[in-house]
Amino acid sequence: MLKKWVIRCGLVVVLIILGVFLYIVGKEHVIFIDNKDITIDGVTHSATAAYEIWIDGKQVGRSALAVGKRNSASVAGPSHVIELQAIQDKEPVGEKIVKEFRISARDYQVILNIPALVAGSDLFLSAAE
Amino acid sequence: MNPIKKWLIDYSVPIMFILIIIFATPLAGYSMSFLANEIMTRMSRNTFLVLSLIIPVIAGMGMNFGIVLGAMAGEIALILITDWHIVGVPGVVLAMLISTPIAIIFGYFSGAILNKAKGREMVTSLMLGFFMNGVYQLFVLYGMGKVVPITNKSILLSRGYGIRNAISLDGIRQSLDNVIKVNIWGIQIPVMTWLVITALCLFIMWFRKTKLGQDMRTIGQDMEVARASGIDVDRTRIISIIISTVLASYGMIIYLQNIGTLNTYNSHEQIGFFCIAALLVGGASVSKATIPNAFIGVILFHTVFVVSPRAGKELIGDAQLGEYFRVFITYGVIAFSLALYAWKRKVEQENERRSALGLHRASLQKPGGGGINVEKMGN
Amino acid sequence: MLAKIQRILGTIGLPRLLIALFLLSLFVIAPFVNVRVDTSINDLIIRFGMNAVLVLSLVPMIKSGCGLNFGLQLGVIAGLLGSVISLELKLRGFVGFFTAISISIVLAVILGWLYGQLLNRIKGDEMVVATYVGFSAVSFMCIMWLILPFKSPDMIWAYGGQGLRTTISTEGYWYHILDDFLRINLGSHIAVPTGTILFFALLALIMWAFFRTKAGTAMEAVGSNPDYARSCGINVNRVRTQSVILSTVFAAIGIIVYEQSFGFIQLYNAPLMMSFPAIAAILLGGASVTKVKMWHVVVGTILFQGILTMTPSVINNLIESDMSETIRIIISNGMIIYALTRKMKVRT
Repeated sequence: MLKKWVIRCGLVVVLIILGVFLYIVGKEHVIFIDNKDITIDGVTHSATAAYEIWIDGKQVGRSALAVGKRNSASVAGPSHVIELQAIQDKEPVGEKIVKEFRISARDYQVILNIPALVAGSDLFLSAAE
Repeated sequence: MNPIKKWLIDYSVPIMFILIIIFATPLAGYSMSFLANEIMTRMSRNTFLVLSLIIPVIAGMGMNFGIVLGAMAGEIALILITDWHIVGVPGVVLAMLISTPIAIIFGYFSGAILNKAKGREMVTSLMLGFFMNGVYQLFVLYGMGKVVPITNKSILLSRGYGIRNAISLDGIRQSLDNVIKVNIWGIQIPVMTWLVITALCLFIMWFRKTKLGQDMRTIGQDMEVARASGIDVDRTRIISIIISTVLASYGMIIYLQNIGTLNTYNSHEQIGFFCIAALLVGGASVSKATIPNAFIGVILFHTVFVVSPRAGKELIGDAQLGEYFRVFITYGVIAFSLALYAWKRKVEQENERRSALGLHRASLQKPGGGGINVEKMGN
Repeated sequence: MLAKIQRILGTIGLPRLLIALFLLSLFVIAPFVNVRVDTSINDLIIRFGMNAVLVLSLVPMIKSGCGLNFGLQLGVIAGLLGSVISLELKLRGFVGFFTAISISIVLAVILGWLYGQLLNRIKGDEMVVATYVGFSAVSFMCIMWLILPFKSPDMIWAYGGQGLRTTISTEGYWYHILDDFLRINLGSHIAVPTGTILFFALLALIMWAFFRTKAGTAMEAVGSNPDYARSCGINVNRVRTQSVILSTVFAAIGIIVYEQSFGFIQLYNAPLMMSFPAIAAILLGGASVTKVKMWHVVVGTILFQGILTMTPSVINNLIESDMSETIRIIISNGMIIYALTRKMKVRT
């Protein structure tokens, strides 16, 4: 008798954990990618170059994101990889920048700031309204 | 009765449908590949729902018009995951996870009421579907946004609470279907969905062999005998409805992920009628429904559904006629099958009564006369 | 004392009591939310006249044991056919009205007889089959309304030239023909449609008188105990068919009374769900699947139409949203479920 109830409670717990897992893994996030100036902790990172952007291997937008512009991408789940390639006069300049980042399951929309990321700041990702 | 004649009567509905198809399909003039794809899509969309009707039939509850409640549970779950922005296969699975407890509650409620209306289960489940539609509206049109927090404003009505009439399910659109898609002879086959359907078939076949399944069979054949053998009839009947409702909620989620849009207040209304009609067209009856019935029924029913508007247009010059025709066919099939079944059952009862009377009289001739309760046999 | 109260409660039934109290409270709240009580009462009287005959039509079948007439649509269709034929013949006024009724009665007898034959072959499962027969008939008529050769310009589609419109106005023909007959004006806002009420009273009287005749008592006997009736030499099947014909005829008359008051003949899918409100109304009045009295019709229609009239205006002003449709769905279907789950006397 008791065993039956224990198994049932256990099953319910497993299902709840599964539910939470699915929630996190399946949650869609909209990433607004800004190539704009941003001031964090008094330090200003300015946008200087246009960038071609890949998120999780797929290119965002057809061409490089110009300075001062914003693009967006939809992803699902918590962990992603962004690759940036600076473009000048239609030619790639310098090394590709690769960064892994995590998005909290609580955020639906986040803003990713390119200059901050390029400068190595850890605060390049922030939650949007 | 001549066995061929009996077979013709038993399967009159599928036969009629095959005749309609033979007649109407060339008239409609659709290409074979279009038809094949259309039928494949509809099959992958509807079969799960139709299969969920089988278990109550085994338990003697007749056609469960209450699958509408399961559909509503699935819809509520989908509204929630859309609000939470959960996409893809995780979205679909999470929706099923969430709909399960809701469907269990609905199923329990449904089953309890049906237990109080023994002998009138079908009408009662029909009215129950309408009634719960009102409760669903109360919850979704008024409660959501006020009582239940909804953060995604795009699915709310402009007044701030209540869900919109139509919600796009883009996030999960075809996600189950697209997991594995295979192209055979020009027909797109959503393999994952079919794996899920097959899983359900296996479940039903396995379930029939379990003690619970056997109990339900017994109740379906004769409630009194079941009760006498110690089966808790009421509880088992409720369980059959709960299972059916939960399966229906999954079926509705599968259906909606294929369509990609949720018509918040209309999607579930027709679902009950169409699925029951499909099952009946496949040769099922109020007391007997098998897995082949479901598959054949979906194919036949939906083929007629697809070709009749165009056929009506070719025949009379008005596509609207074809539309009305197929609604008429849906209702007519149900009416005809149910009437046929009721008529056959009455004839059987009469025969039983006569033979029981005969036995009774015969046993009266013997010393120590018979004790057969004729009244009971007549029921 | 307590036992007496319990007995009265038992007769009235808890849901009925709750709904009556609900309705009363709506009337009480009304003035506080800017809803005029007298206009409401006026609306209620009009709606009573419109619907009462349809509810009345359910009585014969309940008495004869055929259960709740979920196939009411058949009678409605007979009435609709009668109305459009009368309009096609360009008959106006009382002539038009009574022609519509006469044609409908003839059609209703035929349909009712067929329907009765069907029901007799499926004793015990009548209700669900009736529902679908009703639905099928309405769908079938949808096809018919499109292709039947009606020509009257008041009724057919303007540009198509073929097929009847969805709603056809009775204005100019016999709109309010009964309503205005002997209309009594009480104050500025209440105009009693005396003609309609008298007509209903007349029909109710006819039915009441019928059940006092030999045929009527036979019908009641068949309903309460078919075996006993059979042993008295009553042809059970024939009496059941008679009750079905009677119900169908009254339903046909009922929809025509409804049309003259409402002002429109509604075709196509409008009659689809018409059986449910009537059934809910009579159940609300106190009837059950097997028992009914004449006053159930009156009380039920008043309560049901009362809810329908008062809920939109009062609740909408109270909560500032339109819950009326939802509440109507819950109450009317809830009543039917309540009735279906009552224990029935076992009939063999």
